[in-house]
Amino acid sequence: MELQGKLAVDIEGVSKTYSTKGGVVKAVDDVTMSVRRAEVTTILGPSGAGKTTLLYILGSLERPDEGKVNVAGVDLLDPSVDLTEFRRTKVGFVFQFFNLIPSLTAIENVTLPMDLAGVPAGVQNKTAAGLLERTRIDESLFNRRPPRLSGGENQRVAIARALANDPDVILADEPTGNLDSETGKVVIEILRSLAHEDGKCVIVVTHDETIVEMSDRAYRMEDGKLRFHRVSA
Amino acid sequence: MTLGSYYFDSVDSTEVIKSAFKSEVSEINKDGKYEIATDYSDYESIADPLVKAGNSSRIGLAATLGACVLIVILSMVIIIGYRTKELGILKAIGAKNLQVIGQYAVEVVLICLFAVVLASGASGFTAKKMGDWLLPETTMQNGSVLQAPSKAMPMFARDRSLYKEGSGFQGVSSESNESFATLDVTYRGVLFVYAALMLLVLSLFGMAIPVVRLVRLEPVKVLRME
Repeated sequence: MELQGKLAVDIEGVSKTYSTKGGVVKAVDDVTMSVRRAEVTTILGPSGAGKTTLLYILGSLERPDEGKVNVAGVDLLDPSVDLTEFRRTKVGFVFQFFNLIPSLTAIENVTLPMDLAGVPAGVQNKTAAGLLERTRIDESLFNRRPPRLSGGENQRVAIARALANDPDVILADEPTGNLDSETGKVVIEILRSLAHEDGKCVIVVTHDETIVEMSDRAYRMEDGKLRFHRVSA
Repeated sequence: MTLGSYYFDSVDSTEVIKSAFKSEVSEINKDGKYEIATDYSDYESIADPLVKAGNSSRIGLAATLGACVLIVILSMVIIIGYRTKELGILKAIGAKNLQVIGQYAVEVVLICLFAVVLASGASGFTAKKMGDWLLPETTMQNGSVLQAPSKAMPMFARDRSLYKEGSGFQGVSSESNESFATLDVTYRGVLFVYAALMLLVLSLFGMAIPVVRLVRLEPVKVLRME
């Protein structure tokens, strides 16, 4: 694929500390990492290893104390960069607990990011329907609200929402953590297809070793430190 | 010579009555001399229950408004508190601060409109019931001329000769004595608009306090709050 090999994420010497009651915790400790487009990259590690913090730094939800962060060609520490615009157009988030808006239907959840980006209403519905089909959501479920969908369906709607504004990078935080193993496999298959067929850079944070087998590249994170784990054959 | 007695429903209307009286007198008393003797105690005895009811209503209104202010602001703070995560999600998917505030503002306006419609019906019903309860002895059924003395009527009003058209009292027939205590509620448009605007301003203020505080935080802090 043409996009394969191009860097989507390039970070260097990134650190982040938190002050807690028990003292200062270094959640991310001098992390350097490069991630290519059209690949699924997994960051594996136990709870509290700093994986989610690193993911949030990549998505500009959190600001590192030091280091360089370049995602989808945007320098996130450049004060002139509009981070809201970056989050709207360059990255898509998939959360463990889906984080869909419960009062909106499945299709409305998907059109929401497009609405925020000012996409015309007619285009929104057509695009959202296509994305929901892409993530294997049956048309009969389009107008159901998240509480009336299963966990797997909710997560697939969340993936469709993450794709709404056609971002370069998909950041998934424990996307299978709240799903059974079969449903989790379907979700990972969809994420793989997004990387391999659409050329997206997919970064998955997980503590599930089985997901590593399905990814192209894997890192392991412990006590805030990241080290290379494996690359698929 | 006493030509007649008039009872006014308000001391403010004396000038109008005086001019009416003057024209009436001028037809009888050609030299145009007359004297107006006012008896404020009569007015007070008529108006006293109304004044008391009015004062009670004002105290009730002030207390209700105070309670409404607290309820509206607290409700908004609690509602936004429950929706903290939603706010974090909106920020995470790229909503601008103004978009988030705007969305909540639109919701508040819609809720207020619904509340105003609901309140207009409820307040009309309540006001009528309260008026009937507060003014059982002084308000009567519609009827323009007193037909016969009524037991519920003040003593001075029982003599029909004391009554003239244009006085504040409206008579009631003896046949309908059993059901006289009713009050017609009329809506004052301006007051209603003021109340609706006040509700809107209070609700927007109650919404703005927590929302503005939350949108200023890093999205991840809002996401981790719940």
